[in-house]
Formats: sequence, structure tokens, C-alpha cells
Amino acid sequence: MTDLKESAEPVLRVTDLTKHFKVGRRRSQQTVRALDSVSLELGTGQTIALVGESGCGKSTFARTVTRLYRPTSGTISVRGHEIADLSDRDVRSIRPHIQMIFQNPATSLDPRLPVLDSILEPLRNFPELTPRDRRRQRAQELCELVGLPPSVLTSYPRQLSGGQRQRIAIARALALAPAVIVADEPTASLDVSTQAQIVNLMLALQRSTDVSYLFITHNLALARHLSHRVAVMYLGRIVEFTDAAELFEHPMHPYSVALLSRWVNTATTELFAAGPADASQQAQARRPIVLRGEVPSPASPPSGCHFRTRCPIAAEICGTEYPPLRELKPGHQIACHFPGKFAASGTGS
Amino acid sequence: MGHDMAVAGGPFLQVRGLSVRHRPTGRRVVQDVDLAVAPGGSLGLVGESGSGKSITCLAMVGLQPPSMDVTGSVSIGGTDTVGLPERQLNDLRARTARVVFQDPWASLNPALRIGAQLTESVRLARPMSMKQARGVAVEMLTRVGIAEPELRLRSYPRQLSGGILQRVVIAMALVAQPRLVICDEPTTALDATTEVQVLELLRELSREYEFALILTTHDLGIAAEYTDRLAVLYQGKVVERGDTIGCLRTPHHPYTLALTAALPGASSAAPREDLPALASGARRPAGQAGCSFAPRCAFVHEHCLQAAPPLIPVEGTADRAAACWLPAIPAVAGTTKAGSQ
Repeated sequence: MTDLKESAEPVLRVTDLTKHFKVGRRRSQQTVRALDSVSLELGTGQTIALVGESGCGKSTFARTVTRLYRPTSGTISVRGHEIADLSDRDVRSIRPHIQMIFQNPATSLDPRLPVLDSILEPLRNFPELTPRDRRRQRAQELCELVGLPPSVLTSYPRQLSGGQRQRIAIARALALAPAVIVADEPTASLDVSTQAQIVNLMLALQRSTDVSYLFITHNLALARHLSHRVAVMYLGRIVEFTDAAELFEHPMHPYSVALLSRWVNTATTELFAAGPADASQQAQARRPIVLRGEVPSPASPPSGCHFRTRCPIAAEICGTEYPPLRELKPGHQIACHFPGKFAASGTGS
Repeated sequence: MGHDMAVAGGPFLQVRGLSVRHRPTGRRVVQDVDLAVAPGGSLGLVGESGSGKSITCLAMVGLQPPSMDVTGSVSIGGTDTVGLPERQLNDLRARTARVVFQDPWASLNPALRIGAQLTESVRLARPMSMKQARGVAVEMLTRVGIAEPELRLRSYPRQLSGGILQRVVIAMALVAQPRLVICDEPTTALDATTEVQVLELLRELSREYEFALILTTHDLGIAAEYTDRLAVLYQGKVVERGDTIGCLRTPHHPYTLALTAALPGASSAAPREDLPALASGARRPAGQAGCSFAPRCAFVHEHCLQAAPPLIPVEGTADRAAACWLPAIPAVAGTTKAGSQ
């Protein structure tokens, strides 16, 4: 699946986006480098998944790119509008272009507002986009679009199931017909079957409206299913960025390889497959790679390559130089001094 | 996985006809559940939220909320725990059957140092001096892969990360030398690479110390990798059970099938195509006849609405069973993944 329809101008272009947080009081103040020089371009109707563990900066990226946070440096352009430097007051003007869906629909909807008002809110905020007498109709259309009966408009969030609430959150995000929707773990709080419904809905909406998604997730299988390209993040930086299929078939960064060993393992490519495979090969391929230690604190990342403290193939150079993200094959970027070395020996392929 | 499931005179845990009723509403949240785990064996309990997997675990060791009534029989190493006096239950939970919960932060007392909590756990199980207990604690912390155990004993829970804390909780369970460890979603609160570390550790330890393991999870992948027996729960009932790989490879209950088919990666759906999603169905009103899965089932027929199917042995298997009237699920597109992509 590489039906990349590259349009001339990406709807979202992010260049060297950096977000640092200052934590602590004066004397013990530390800088948390939550996001460090992240660049990407998102085309119309495309989906990029950002994957990584907690603390890797994927949520910070989501919140910075939607300007819920003010970037420390870097540029963000949505539909040609430069939004990185907008003042807090002007930032409102970008909402018709870029919207966000959060992980927990129970907390992203106002419990005291009927669903109708939640959906009308963005329409009312931009009265010039939808005439007053069209808004109610638009709310009903949106409901239909996300597969809910118009009767839910009079309900309150607490009367709806988690899946229904997430559909409302999606309807609300779509209200102003944005070019980009940033979805931060939109299915993490849902059951498998509900997750499948929301995934199908997101895919259908993309087909019908050509909306682009930035999809934030820790679930690799989901990233593979939903996205065209995948960016693997570790401690605030992208360590590997390529087509979804390419990443899952030929991961080259040791961190991606380790993460994927878990995916191949449990996504059960071979487990659910009928028919016997070579038993010994299967057993070997099935072992997840256990990385030692845990993700270091982004307040004091290791010198050189941030991953080196957990990397099975770290060498001396890794402690002194951060490997830049470079394109090794067309469309396959990777930040590693020894790209592909671990993949070859580690998975026995 | 199966070979070290020593056959030693029957299961260590035997659950028969376990039902849990919510007294105020009269709703039966667990219904007639039968389970068995061999000494050193492992059982996965899977199902959606609300399927009753957690409450089943809690009820086995008498930890159900006070508003719940438990009936049936649960034999743990020969002791029937249903209706057992609290004092004896406490004893059982301290020595024989330990529970590891989902959230390590909630399982530890935030006001006490790790050391105090670990040594308490040791001494509740086996009477010994404080000094000896500390020794046992240090040894076990080392075993679960915690660096500088002496230092960690002086830490408070808030000073440690989730992965380390869950190791501490596991260590706390294992110092008692239990014969059964019940893990209720032990890694749901953890990150991907930490999750692998903790699950691998659990597997190693269960072999080394030969305890029986119950693992509840909503992640079929985890069940597939880390358990040898499986029970799929739906609305408080076991709808399918058998060897884990068999159940997931060739499901005989439409619910098991739907769960595997809806899972990205396990599903036969190609990337960016629709996943075969299970319709969200209404819960059937209590007392209504028929199969409780019928409102969501793709293969429902008349008989399903008249009588609830019992667990029926699956033909051609040693001990698999599924609560479905269909002898086999009709072959449809999107059932199992045909080879790798």
C-alpha cells in the first residue's frame, strides 16, 4: 500500500519544531527538551502516524502543532498560513484549518452541555463561516457523517458510550472542515471492537473529505493500519520516518526494530496464520526483543544519541555525536550511526 | 510453553459454577464460570471492559466489593475460598494466592518506603525476623531486575517509575512464595518496551518458581504470547475456552472471531481498509431467553434467540469448548489472516 498521492503543496509543513519546558524553581530550574527539531510535511488526504512511548514528545508535538503550546522555535505552516509565531489572541484564527481529537472523549466534551451545543460551539465561534440559520442543519449533517442518529444531539455526554462520545468529538473537530486533524491516541480508551469502528470512521471520513490526519499512537499495529507514513519518536526527536509498509518490513533504527519485534510478535502475523511455518524460524522470529532499562528523562537526555543507553549496538561514536536524520533510501529517513545493523543480526532475517 | 505444565494430580485452581451477583440491582456480573489452572500453568482471561474478567479474579480470592454476592466453588490448592472467613482469606492471600493489580501506584502505600512494604509482605507469609525479611526482599528485588536494591528499599513509590514499581509489586507478591499469582491487566499502565520487560519477567519467574499464573488482559496479543490456556468472557460468561493458540487461530465462537478480526495487524483487512468491526449491541435484558451475544452476532439464527447455548466441546480437539450452537463458524472473508503480508 503505497498509494502516495503527493500533492505539490503540503497542507501542513513543520520545520525544526522545538518545544522546551522550564520546570522547577530558579536555582534548580531544568529545561525539558520535550520536542527537538522535528520536521515533517503532510499532504492532502494523507495520514502520518507518530509513534513512540510516553515521554517521546508525540503529545507535545500534537499540542504544539495545533498551537495549544507556543513553540520554542521552528515554523508551522497550515494551508499556507504561518502559525508558529501567532500571538495567543490571533491563534484563534487557525482553528478552521487545524483541529484536534483527544484521547479521552469523556473529558474533552463539556458534561453540562447537550451534544448539540458542543457541536455548535465551533460554528458559533466562527459565525462568518456558517450562517446562523444553517448551523442546526450542519450539526445534523455532522452527526450523520459520524454515523450517529440525530437524536443524540439532545443527549448529554454521560448518556453516551465511549465510542459514541468519540464520534461526537470527531464531529466537532470536523465542524469547520479543517485541512488537518491531529488525533492524540483517539482509540486508547476504547475496546477492540469500538476501536475498529472509530478507525473505520476515520478512514471513511478521509476518503469523503480528503482531510489529513496526524495520528499519535503507541500502538504500532494501529499506526500501520491507518497511516501512509510513520514517524518513530524517541526522547523528543524523530529517529525513523518512512512509509508505513517500508517501516514494518525494513525497520532500520534499533529502537524501531525493538518496538516492532513486539508488534510482529503480538500482531500475530504468524500466530493467527493458518498453516505450519518452519517451527524453529517461527520460534526465533516470535521472541520480542527486550530492551534494557527505561526511557531516560527528557530533562537530562544522554549525550550523543539519545537511544544509546538502551541500544544493543551502541558504540563509542554514539556517546559523542547525535546522528542526524538522513535519507538513506528515497523516502526512508533514519537517525542512527549504524542503520540497519541491528535489524540484520537481531531478527535473524 | 506447554511442556512444563507438570501433570500432578489435577489443577491447582479449580473454579466451578462461579457466579457474582450485584445485590442492589440483582444483575449477575459473572455467571456460571468454570475455570481450571494446572500447577505451573497459565490461563489468560480476555474480553472487553465489562466482560467480568476483573471481578472473576477478585471473587476467586474474596476481594469482590461488599455489594456483590459470590456463589459457586473456588478451590485453590484444595481450599474452597467461597464463604471462607475473612481471617483465613487474608492468610490465603498473603501466602498462597497473590494478586498483582493493573496500577502499581495504587497498589503501594504512597506514605511508606518500599522496604517497609516488602518486608511486611514477607513476614505476613512467613514468620521471620526483620533482618531476615530484609534479606529476602533484597534478593527478590535483585531477581526482578532492580539495580541497587538496598537503595530502592529506602525509596518511596513516587520516586520510582511505573516499570520499576510494577517490578516491586511483582517482587512483593513473589516473596511470599505463592502457588498462584493472579495478574489483573498487569501492564496496561506501562509503556510498550517496559511492558515486554515485565511480561518476560513474569514468564521467567513463573517457570523458575513454578506458580500458576492467571493473566487478565484485553490485549489478545499478550494472551497469545504469555498464556497456554485461554478463557474468553462475554457479559460474565465464558463463551470459549481451550488452548490459547487454538482458540485464537481457529475461533469457534463468533465473539472470539470478531475480537481477532477487529484487531489491526491480526485482522485480514489490508492497511487502510475497513476492519471487520463488531457492532456495538445492546445488553440483553435479564431473563430474556437465548444467547447473550445474539444481538451482535453476524451468524445469529432462530435457535439462538430461543435458548442460550452451553459450552459445547469443539469436535476434533482435546478440550476446547465454545458456547455457540453453530458446530463451526461459516467461512467468511476476514476471519483469519492468510499468511503474512
